[in-house]
This record gives sequence, structure tokens and C-alpha cells, in this order.
Amino acid sequence: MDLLLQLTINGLSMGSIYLLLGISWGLIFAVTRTFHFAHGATFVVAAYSAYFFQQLGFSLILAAVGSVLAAVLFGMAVEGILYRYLRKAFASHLVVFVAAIGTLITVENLIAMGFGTDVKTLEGFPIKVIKIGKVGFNNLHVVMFATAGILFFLLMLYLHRTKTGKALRAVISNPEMAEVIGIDTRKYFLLAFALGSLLVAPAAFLVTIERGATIDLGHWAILYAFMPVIIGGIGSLPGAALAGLIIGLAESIGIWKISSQWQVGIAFVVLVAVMILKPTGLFGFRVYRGKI
Amino acid sequence: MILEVKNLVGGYQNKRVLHGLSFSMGDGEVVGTIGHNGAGKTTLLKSLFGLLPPWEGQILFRSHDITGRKPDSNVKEGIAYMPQGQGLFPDLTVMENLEISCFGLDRKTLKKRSQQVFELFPILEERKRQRAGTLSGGEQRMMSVGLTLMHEPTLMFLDEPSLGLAPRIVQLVMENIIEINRRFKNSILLVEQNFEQVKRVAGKIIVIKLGQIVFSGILDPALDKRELWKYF
Ligand SMILES: Nc1ncnc2c1ncn2[C@@H]1O[C@H](COP(=O)(O)OP(=O)(O)O)[C@@H](O)[C@H]1O
Ligand SMILES: [Mg+2]
Repeated sequence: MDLLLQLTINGLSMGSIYLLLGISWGLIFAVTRTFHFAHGATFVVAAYSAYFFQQLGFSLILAAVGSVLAAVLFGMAVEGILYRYLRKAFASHLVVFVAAIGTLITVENLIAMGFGTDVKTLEGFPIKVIKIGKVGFNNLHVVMFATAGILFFLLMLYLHRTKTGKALRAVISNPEMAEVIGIDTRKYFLLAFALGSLLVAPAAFLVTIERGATIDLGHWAILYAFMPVIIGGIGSLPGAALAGLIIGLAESIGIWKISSQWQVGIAFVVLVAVMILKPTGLFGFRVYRGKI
Repeated sequence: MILEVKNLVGGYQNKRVLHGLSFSMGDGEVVGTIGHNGAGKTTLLKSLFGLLPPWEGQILFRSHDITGRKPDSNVKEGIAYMPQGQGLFPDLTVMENLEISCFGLDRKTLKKRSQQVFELFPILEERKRQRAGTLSGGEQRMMSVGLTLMHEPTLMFLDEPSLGLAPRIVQLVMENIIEINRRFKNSILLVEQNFEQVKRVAGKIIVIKLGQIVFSGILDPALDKRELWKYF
């Protein structure tokens, strides 16, 4: 019982990271229908700029702020320069997909050239182990869970209560109609990239604190951004959030019995199982459209 | 003249659909546009409204050149468009649909305009907290028509408002369109497949065939379907 509780706590803390990856990529996809695989690049940009700012002598908090800014600028640049251009040229989904993967690989390599391939760590987070009975966890896990929960709550509040948030939901719901009523969809595409990049930066920052940053994190991140969205149902952000937590739990409880090198495999098993039982995902009503 | 179209040519990427259309509309006039599936009616409305860039020709709105002007400017200047099919946001509530269609306007105006829509379509007020996608087909169409009214347009483009509706509901929607024209004295370019309905609503009629206007003029009430067919 204690073990199960322990694994649940571990699962929820990693699940919080998957939650952030899922809702950030899911928001961008729902609004723009772009297979933004360069989201992984945004993730490494966020991780390495946090490291960079700390090397410059900034505090951990300022490094976090810098990393969010860098991620937002990078995400907006990819949309504003690359995707917008491709859309204008009527590029097919495949072309966009290849361009996005190319961006991911290029950015990873450029960062490797600039920073080297060794593990980069962030200093200054005062890790404290908290023990309740036989169950132990640390304050970083709490921060992960709280960050994900608060950001998800704020995103929902923003989408449902503000004018621009409602406009984003309108674009998700019916993009042609959004244009018809006079919404400049290009602006909202850019906004979606800004928000999505803003949401992924804290995940990158927390992962870097926990286990350090390496360049291949970009590939890892895009995998775990994509899976919650498919499992939760395309277009459903609460679905992606819940699916992120479920993947975290499944992996954590799974490696109780299975060797941890199969961790990614467990996530895929969840993915395939959901796809067989409910092809539209847990909350997706239709492909490309759903409850936001 | 509220709208003058001169030799409009347009289409998609490299597919030419409209082969030089010219017509005009007077203030407060309802013009019916009919033609077979694929004739280019939707393409015409999209080109007029700025969703598709016209290739050649000129569009004048109250004598101002609006050729290729973007929808957001057109909406602000009082031109509205109801697209064919689902012209609403299914995942937003009825009230949110109205709110978002009033984008850029203040609360007071929103309230006034929603009230106007609710007066025309009382059923929408009853359902205002409901997701628009869960409304019945007829209610959804009323919602779509309602959304086009939010900027108090002086010129409306309506693309097949009767599409997919039961005959009884079609009657209702057409009466609503007549009522809108009577109340707001705006000009309406109405695309329809249903000739009987066009005859009821429109004064003037345009017949489009393969991207060209083959008939345009005042509708003779005695003119029956068979006679009109010869233009097709
Ligand atoms: N997005 C599009 N891309 C290319 N061709 C299109 C597109 N939409 C419509 N068409 C073509 O343009 C022609 C006119 O279509 P449309 O304007 O929708 O006709 P209508 O509304 O009169 O039924 C048709 O041949 C149709 O196949
Ligand atoms: Mg059509």
C-alpha cells in the first residue's frame, strides 16, 4: 500500500510535466492545426536559456523568467517566420511536418555546438525531502504538481472568461467562421504559439532542475507532448491534461513490475489501448474539433 | 447603388471559377442568386466578402472600391456574410457566439444587438447558455443568421440559408429574412438552390451557370420554374 502511494506520487509529479507538455502542444495544434514538432525545440531553448542565464549570474527565479521569455520569442518566431510562410505557399501537412522536424534537429544541433553535449544543471533549488510515514517525496515534486495545476487552471480561466480567450476558442471551434466575423486569425495563431511556448517553458525548467538538460530532450519532449493530446482527444485541453497525468501514473506504476527501460513503451501501450477502445481519444468528440 | 460588381474574375489557386461577372444592387434590395451545384455561387460570395482574393475586376460598395479588402474591414463597414453550412461556433454557447461576433464592440452595444437578435429569434434567448452545436438544425441556422446581424450590416450575403432544413423550417427562416429586410432596410444578396423560396423573397434575380451570369433582372411573378430552366 505504501509502495502504491509512493508510485502514485512519483507518477503525478512526472505526469504534471506531461500535462504541461500536452496542453501547450494541444493548444497550438487546436488553434492552428499545425503539426508543431518544433515544440521540442522550444523546450530545449527554454532549458538551455535557463542554464545560460544562470551562468550569467542571474538567480534561479530570474533564470526561469528568462527561459519563459526565450521560449515565447522562439515559438512566435517559428510561427511568424516559418509556418506563416509555408501556409502562404499552400504547403501540405507533410511539408510543414518535415520543416518542423528539420527545425527541431537544427536547433538541437546548434545548441550542441554552442553548449556542448554534456549534461547542464541548474543550481540553487533547495531540495527538501518530505516524509510522511514510509512515503517520501521532495518539494520539487510539489512544485511540479502545483505549477501544472495552477497553469492549467489559469489557462482555462483565460480561455473561458476573457475576450481574447473566447476568440481563441472561436478559432478552435470554427476557423473559417472566425475569419467571417472579422477575427484576424493570423494574430490568434501567433497568440496560440506565444501561450503554448509560455506553458512549455516551466516544464523544461523543472525537468532541468530535476535531471539536468541534454540536447536530446527535444525529441523526448515532443513525444510526451503529442501522446497526451492523442489520448485526451484532439481539441480537448482538459483531456490532454488528464491524459498527461494518466501517462505519468501508468509509467510509474508500470515500472513497479517492468524494468524502467521500457518506460516509453508503457506510455505507448496506454496510447494504443485508448485508440482501440475510443479512437477519438478520451474526450475528443470529433477529430479536429471538441470541447475546449 | 450599394454594390456594383464589374467583370469579376476569381477562383482557387489555379482554378478559374468566375469568368467575369457584372451586376449591381440597389439600397434595400433583395437579390436572389440561383444556379446549379458547382456553378460558382459560393465562390462569388467569398470573393465579394474578401475571403478569396479576386483575380480581376472591381467591387464597389457605396461607390468605394473594396476589391480584395479583408473580411475584418468589411465587417466593420457593415457588410456581413453567412457561410454555407455551419456558420457558427459549435463549441461556444449561444451567448458566447453573439459576444464573439460583436468583437471589438463595447458591452452596451453587445447587449442591444443581442436583444435585437433575441427579438427576431426568441428561441435563442431560451437557449442562450446552451452550446450552439447542440441546437437543432433550424435553431443553428437562426443562430447563423443572427450572428450576421451583430454589426448591423447594410449589406448581407447569405449562402443557402435553407440548406438541409425541413420544409416547414425553411418557410420560417425565409420569413425571418423578409422581416430582417423590412426592419433594417438593408440589402441582401441571397444564394439559394430553392427557386420557390427565392421567388418569395427576392425582387431581382441572378442566374449563374458555370461561373457566368446567364440571366439577371426583375422577377416576373408569373415566371414559373420551367421557363427559368431554359436559362440553366
Ligand atoms: N476550395 C476549393 N478549391 C478548389 N476548387 C473549389 C474549392 N471550392 C469550390 N471549388 C470549385 O469551384 C466551383 C464552384 O464551387 P462553388 O462556388 O462552391 O459552387 P456553388 O456554391 O454554386 O455550388 C466548383 O467546380 C468547385 O468544385
Ligand atoms: Mg455553394
